[in-house]
Amino acid sequence: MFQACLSAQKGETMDTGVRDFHIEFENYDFGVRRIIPWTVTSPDDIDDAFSDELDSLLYARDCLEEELQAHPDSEELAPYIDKIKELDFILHAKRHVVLQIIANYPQWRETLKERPPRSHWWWYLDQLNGDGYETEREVVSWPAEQLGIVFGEEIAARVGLKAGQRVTIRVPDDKHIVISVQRGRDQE
Amino acid sequence: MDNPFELHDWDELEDWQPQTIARLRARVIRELSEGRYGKDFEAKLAERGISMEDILNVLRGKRTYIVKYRDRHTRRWRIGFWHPRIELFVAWKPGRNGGLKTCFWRKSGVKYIQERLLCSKPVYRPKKAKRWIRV
Repeated sequence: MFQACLSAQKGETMDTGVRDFHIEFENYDFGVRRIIPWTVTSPDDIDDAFSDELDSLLYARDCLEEELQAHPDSEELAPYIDKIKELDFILHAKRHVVLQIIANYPQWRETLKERPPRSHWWWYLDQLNGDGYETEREVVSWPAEQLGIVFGEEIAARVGLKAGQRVTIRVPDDKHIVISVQRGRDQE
Repeated sequence: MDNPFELHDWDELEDWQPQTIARLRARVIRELSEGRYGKDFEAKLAERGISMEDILNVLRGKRTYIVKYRDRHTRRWRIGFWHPRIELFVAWKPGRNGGLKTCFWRKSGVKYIQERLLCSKPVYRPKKAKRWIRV
């Protein structure tokens, strides 16, 4: 098995196991909700901490997966499942940020002692397509034409936005929106 | 070697004498007290519920494992500290522009530093610690 992060510790009660699970859940949560956005706003800190943080985030996600697989019917872990799915969705949506910052991310897999299985998709952010980690709860089912953010040509030029580019916008309450920039109708 | 902590390449530095370890700890503690860390470092501590005392206890602790490893992105050497009771991992970057990088709670610290950190090699392990397993 790829990693046995938490359950390999013999003689521990389930309560201890849940506490350990919670620690790794918080590491994953903090990494996805805080570290990645901070890195975008503090690019000068990238060399200093981001790779350790990302490594820790990936390790935490491995641990969570391992425990969920080992205890699929656990009532204690059940409340975490939706929260982990939500974090997965956010990480999936922000994968381009990770790939932009960590240019050698695909080589990270090669540096592990054991290659992660494909089911651990967080190790394959560079190979994911645009579909798929959407859950019903996260997808807003409004018609696309009713959602729009208009950038003036001057602003778009100033910040270097180009048609086809994907951009993450941080909004209050630590939510993030990922948009694809398209050329406006009047410019076509 | 006069000052190994100014170096980034420790390939040649395999023999970490007790005096070297003591100087390493003193240096990291001094840099912490001088505020040599990233600008988000304090915010991370607050949000993760980590106190400066926790970090100091890890850096000073006789039961603390100390490991050198390579940053997976830059491939430069780093130093990691992990204490089995406090269950806190502290990462430090050597060199003139170095300082405390980050820290986070981690239960399975020995496993983490042995199996996950890139090119990790023990610098110091407690006398009564679990045997360092070559993986």
